[in-house]
Amino acid sequence: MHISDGILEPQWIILWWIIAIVFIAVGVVQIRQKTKDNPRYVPMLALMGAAVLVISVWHIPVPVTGSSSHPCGTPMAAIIVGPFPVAVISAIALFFQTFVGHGGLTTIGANNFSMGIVGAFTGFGTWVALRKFRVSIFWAAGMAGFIGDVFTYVTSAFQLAVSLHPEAMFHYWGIFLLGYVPTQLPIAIMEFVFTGLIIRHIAEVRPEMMRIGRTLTKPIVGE
Amino acid sequence: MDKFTKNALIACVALSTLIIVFFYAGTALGHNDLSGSDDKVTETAAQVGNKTPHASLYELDQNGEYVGFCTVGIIGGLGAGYAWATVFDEGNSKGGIIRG
Repeated sequence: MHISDGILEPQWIILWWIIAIVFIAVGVVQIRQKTKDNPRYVPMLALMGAAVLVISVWHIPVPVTGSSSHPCGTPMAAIIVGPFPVAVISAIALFFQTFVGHGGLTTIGANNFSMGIVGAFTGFGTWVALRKFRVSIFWAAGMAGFIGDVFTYVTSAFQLAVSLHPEAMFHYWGIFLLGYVPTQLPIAIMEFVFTGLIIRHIAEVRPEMMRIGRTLTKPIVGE
Repeated sequence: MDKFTKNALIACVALSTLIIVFFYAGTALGHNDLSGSDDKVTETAAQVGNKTPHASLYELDQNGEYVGFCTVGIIGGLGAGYAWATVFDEGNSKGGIIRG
C-alpha cells in the first residue's frame, strides 16, 4: 500500500489528504482525552506507533510468488488504542518511512487512508462485531487482522485505479488487486495469526491493557 | 523477565527465523529478486498510467533499502523498548495506576 510519489493525480492527492486530516484531527482530540483519563495511554500509544512503524516495513518473502510484502499492524493497534488514534500513529509511521524510500510524501494522505483509516476501522469493526457475537478473542482479533490487512490493499488498488483510470476504474481496480493478492493473501493469514495471538495473550496476561484505549473492549473481552 | 515479555521475545525470534527460512526457500525456488509487491504494482500502475514514480527524498539501491529498513527496525525497537517498561512493568500493572 506504499504508493510512491508521482503516481496519483493532484486532485486525488488533495482529496486523500483532506480525509486523512479529518481523521487525524479527531484522533488527536481522542488522544488528549484518553491521556487525561489514563497517563499510561501515551506510552501504550508510543508502543503501538513503534509496532506499526516496524510491522509495516517488515517485508516477509513469499517463496511461491517470488515477491515479498508486509503486514499492516494497524488492526492490532486499533483494538488496543482505538481506531482514530491509529490514524495519527499511522501517519507518523508513514512519514518516517519516506526517509527509507518507502511510500511518498505527497501520498501520505492516500497511504494513511488505506492503512491507518480503512485498515484500522475495518479491523476494529470486525473485532467489535465478532466479540458481540461471543466469538473467542483469538478468532475475533485474528479476523480483525485479516480483514484489516485485506481491505488496506483493496483500498490501495482502488486509489490507483480511480486516479489513473477513472473511465475504466473497475477493470483496473481488478488488475491492481490481482497484483497484490498472491503475495498479500499469505501475509494477511500471517497477520490473522499474530494479531489473534498477541491480543489473546494481552487479554490473558494483561487484561487491564485492553481497557487503556477504552475501545469498547471492557464489556466485550470478559469471556 | 515476566511471562509476557519472554513470549514476545520468543515470537520476535520465531518470526525472524520464518522470514529467513522463506527467503532461502524463495531463493531455492529460483526467485532471486523477492522485491516488494508494493513496488511491482506501483510499476504496473505507472506503466498503464504513463507516470514516473519517484522517491520523495532520494533513491535507495537495494543495499540502501536493507540499511534503511534496519534503521527503521532499530528506531522502532528503541521506541517500543522505551515504552515497554512503562506499559508492561509488573509493578505498575498491579499498582492501581490503570483506571480503565
